[in-house]
Amino acid sequence: MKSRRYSDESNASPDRCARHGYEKSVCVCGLPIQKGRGSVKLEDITRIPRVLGAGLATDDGFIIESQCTVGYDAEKSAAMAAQIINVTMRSLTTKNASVVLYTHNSVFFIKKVEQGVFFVICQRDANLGLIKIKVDRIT
Amino acid sequence: MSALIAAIHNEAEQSSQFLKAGDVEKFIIEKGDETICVLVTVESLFTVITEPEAKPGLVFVYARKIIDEIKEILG
Repeated sequence: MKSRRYSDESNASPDRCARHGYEKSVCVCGLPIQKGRGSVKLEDITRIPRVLGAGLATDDGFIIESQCTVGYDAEKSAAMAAQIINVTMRSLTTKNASVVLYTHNSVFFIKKVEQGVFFVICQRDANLGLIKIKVDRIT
Repeated sequence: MSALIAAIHNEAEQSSQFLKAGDVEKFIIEKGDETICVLVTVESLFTVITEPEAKPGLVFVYARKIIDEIKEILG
């Protein structure tokens, strides 16, 4: 599990996340979902069996937060996710898009969200429907 | 549309190689009013554009059958 601390918890203000220091409305501790339906945490997705990692990156591919199993490079995955979603949105002239990419070894879910690009990596035999439901809830 | 899908596939293929994830086999793009299902065959991309309500699993089942028929016709 990879987790970075952006601020001292003792100095956290009520408006900011105690763990990451971001404003609560944008912190990846709880990615905002449809109104009145709470939030989706990274743990909710990485807890699903055969999910190898999940994370949030900026539009230009820098990692914001991620949780990946050993052997999976979150920074590479974030860069790849941002690249694919940017090309897709530019090509199809749309502001929002999501891509499900099946490769020989794994499956990637990539979705443009308010805060950047959200991605999930899982094995081919994971429950892709369940992962998609979780990913679709994130706005 | 074909050119755009090919461009997206090339990008996905490069990224996949970069991550050592193997070849891209298929992908689904969801945008506002339509869903694009792409199945990669040996030398070509079979693309189906559907409404968002369509079931991608069913689309891929039929797409495979159609690809097999096309292969038979082409020999």
